[in-house]
Amino acid sequence: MRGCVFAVLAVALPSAPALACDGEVMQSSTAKAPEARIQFEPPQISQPFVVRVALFDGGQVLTVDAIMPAHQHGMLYRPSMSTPEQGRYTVENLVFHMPGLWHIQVQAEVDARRIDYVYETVVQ
Amino acid sequence: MIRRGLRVLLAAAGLWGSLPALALAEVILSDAEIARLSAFGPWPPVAEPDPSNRFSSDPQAIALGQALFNDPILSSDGLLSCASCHDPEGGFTRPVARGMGRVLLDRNIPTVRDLAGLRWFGWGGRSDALWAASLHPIVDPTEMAHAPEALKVSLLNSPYAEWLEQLLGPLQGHTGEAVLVNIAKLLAAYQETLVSAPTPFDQFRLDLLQGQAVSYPLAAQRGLQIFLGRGNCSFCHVGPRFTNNEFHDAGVPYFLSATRVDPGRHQGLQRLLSSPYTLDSQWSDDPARTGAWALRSVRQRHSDFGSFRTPTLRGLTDTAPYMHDGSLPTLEAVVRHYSEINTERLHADGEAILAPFHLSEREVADLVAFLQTLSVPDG
Repeated sequence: MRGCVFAVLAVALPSAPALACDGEVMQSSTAKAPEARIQFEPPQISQPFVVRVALFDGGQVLTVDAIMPAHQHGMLYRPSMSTPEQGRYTVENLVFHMPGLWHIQVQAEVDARRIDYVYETVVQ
Repeated sequence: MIRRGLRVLLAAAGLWGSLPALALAEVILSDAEIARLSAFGPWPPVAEPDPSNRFSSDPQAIALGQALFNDPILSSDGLLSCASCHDPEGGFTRPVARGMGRVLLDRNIPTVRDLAGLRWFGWGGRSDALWAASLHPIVDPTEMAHAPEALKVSLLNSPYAEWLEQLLGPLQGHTGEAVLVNIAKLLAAYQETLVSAPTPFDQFRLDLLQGQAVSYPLAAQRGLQIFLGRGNCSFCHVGPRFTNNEFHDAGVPYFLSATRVDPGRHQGLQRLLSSPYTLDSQWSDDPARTGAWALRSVRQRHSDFGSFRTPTLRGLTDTAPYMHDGSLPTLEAVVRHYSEINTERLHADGEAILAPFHLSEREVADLVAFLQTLSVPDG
């Protein structure tokens, strides 16, 4: 493992210090998937928010999106992803327009493998 | 902290001395339901100026905007004002199914209260700024039908000329289009001030969250439980405004006639994306283009067709009839529509939210009782 190089900058606290290995671990059904982590402030309904995604052991994040599985719909806006810095991605303009269970989905490519990650979060 | 001990029925007489008798009510909501109420306030929201409108929050502009809102000078033949449809004495709408401009319009007249700070405006969301939403009816040939240059001439020859020039500078130096946009911004500055007052629900929510004894009818509480629970109402009618301000298929037919349909959000988005009057346009006064991210990143979906903006539920008792086409005359009819919704009318690729939930007669009355508490009582 190349080591954890993830740094988090909280949206509301732009001067927050960089924290190695912070954020929640994302789940993947792919065997031996390298670790991916995500961090964000609790979003408000219908308000845009930012997530930070870190992918360890190389590879690149291809897409970040979200769905509401119980309702069979996704988000109404395309998130925009910044150019990564040291394996860290900043993704803006995610919007959860309904309360309930959402799945944040990250698709990555690592060593020519497509790996899907998911993080479950409930929005009140 | 809310304690069960507070949830008792108190006879107010005797507790309040000389105050009018006030029946304090039992609280039947669960702790989880009470916790969810936090998201429905506070009300009113903190007023913030619209950076895309340099007249926003300017008292002089607001006063002029109000005068223009009520004056038919904005229509080409001097017959229609904004207030002709958005009646200040009638919840800023009219009690008709569909608006009447020069012809019978396709949609119900939405209230213009509580619009400040929204992301989209109109049933189809054709505007991303209140000033843009205020501009379209002035030039729409089915509504006020005023060409920009003719509007400028009308205003130059009106009692408003001097007042306008105090705010805009010499009108002769403006194009007709610039005058049109500025008039729309004055109208928007006024409409931003149209904020509904706190309601019995707001007081109930506040009392609960502060651990105070409450005065709120049990029927309304039972209706609130349906609203938060099996009715699934609060998926879309959420937040202090009771709307997520997005677009949904509510199972209301969108045929205007045997040969015409109302495309709803699909058409609204097409018009928005081709509009010269957006937060991302030269007409915005905000160099930072705040809010333009939504226009840039909004997704176009098959299910936009026949979807309409979720309206606020505040002030509902002033704004009958209901739905985008005004087809439901009463709150009871709206509740029955959702309770027995015809899922055959819903998009196959739409959201799997709505399904019949078969309210009893008492439950229909309860949900209506709750909805009525989102308005300020008469008198």
